[in-house]
Amino acid sequence: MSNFNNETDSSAFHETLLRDRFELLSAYVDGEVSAAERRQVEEWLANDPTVQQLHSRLMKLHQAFEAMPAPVATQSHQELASAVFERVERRSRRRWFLGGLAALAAVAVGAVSVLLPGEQSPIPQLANESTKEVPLKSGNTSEPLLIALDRPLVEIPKSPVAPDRSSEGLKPEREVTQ
Amino acid sequence: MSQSLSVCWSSVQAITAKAPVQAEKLSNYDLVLQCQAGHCPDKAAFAELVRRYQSHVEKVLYHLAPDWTDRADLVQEVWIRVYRNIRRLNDPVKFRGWLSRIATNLFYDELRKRKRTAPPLSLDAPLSVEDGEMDWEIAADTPGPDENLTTREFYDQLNAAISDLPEAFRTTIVLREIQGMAYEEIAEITGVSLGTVKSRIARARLRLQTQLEHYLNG
Repeated sequence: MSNFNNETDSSAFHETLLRDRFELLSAYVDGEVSAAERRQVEEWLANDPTVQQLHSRLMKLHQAFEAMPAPVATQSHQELASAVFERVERRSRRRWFLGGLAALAAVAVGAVSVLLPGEQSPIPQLANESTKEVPLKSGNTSEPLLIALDRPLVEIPKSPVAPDRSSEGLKPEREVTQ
Repeated sequence: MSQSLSVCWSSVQAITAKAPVQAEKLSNYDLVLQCQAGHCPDKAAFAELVRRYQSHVEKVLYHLAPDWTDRADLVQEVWIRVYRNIRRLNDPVKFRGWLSRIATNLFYDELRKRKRTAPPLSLDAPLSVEDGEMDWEIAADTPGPDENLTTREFYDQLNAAISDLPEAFRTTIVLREIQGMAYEEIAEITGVSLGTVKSRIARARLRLQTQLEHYLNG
């Protein structure tokens, strides 16, 4: 493992300490530490050979990332630029086409509404029927509906279907006998 | 100028461009400015921008998605987004970081789509619960003299070691080491706490150090 084991005999504690130190060292390399943490790491770097070695490895790894060559390109830059221009123009043409199609459709609908006047027009119209008076035919033979207000249309039996038991003292029989 | 009509199309575009200076001779800053001028980017300037930064985009996507077979399409999509949005970039100095962010966002968009449509890899299960999949064992101090790596071999091993990292660790270390993002930005993109970012970066480094110890100890 490491040379940090002079800190403690407990392997769990040792592990935690190791993790914390390495994390701090890693954050230090990235400049992501507070002023107090920086001082702490710099003290370790001045006095602890293990931390010095870990730091050296971290810096080498960091440099390796920077110097790492780019992977083989999936296409040449000319091919890539041409493909980008082509796709941008194709999408632009498609947008124009769809826009034109929508405009044509709007014109067609407008033309139909002009050529088919009035009620034949398929265009929805505002309701204007309410203004029309529909005259009753003079020879209308049907009788007007007359409702006698003092008599019900249907004979209602005196006994209700569901008598109110609470108000009647749970005695429905009394009403039936009446 | 008329002789240049016989060469490749990018030269032809350069002739029609308004700017008298050829795109290849512009600084990165001026090149971005030229791409921002006009209604849409000047084609010659944009092609030059692609030439200068294509490798960076390839590198970012290669390490973020080493096992995706359609990376060429992703690379194209990154540049389409650049073409459409470059006028929105306020500070041309920040172009590289802006480009990285576009590539990273695209990667995460795709990753989300693929996770919705495909069952998650078994690798994800322990990682999504806890970051305890990678241990903290420090590499031995003694170098292994039996393995003399050449530079090429070393980078091959580094690439392999990066792609072997579990996804959460790989993306985090790539955003830090290749894209140079700050921890806070990485936390925002990956949707985890600063502490988790710090821990993942440290553990990824430790794993890489362990696998490459022969070279790093030399």
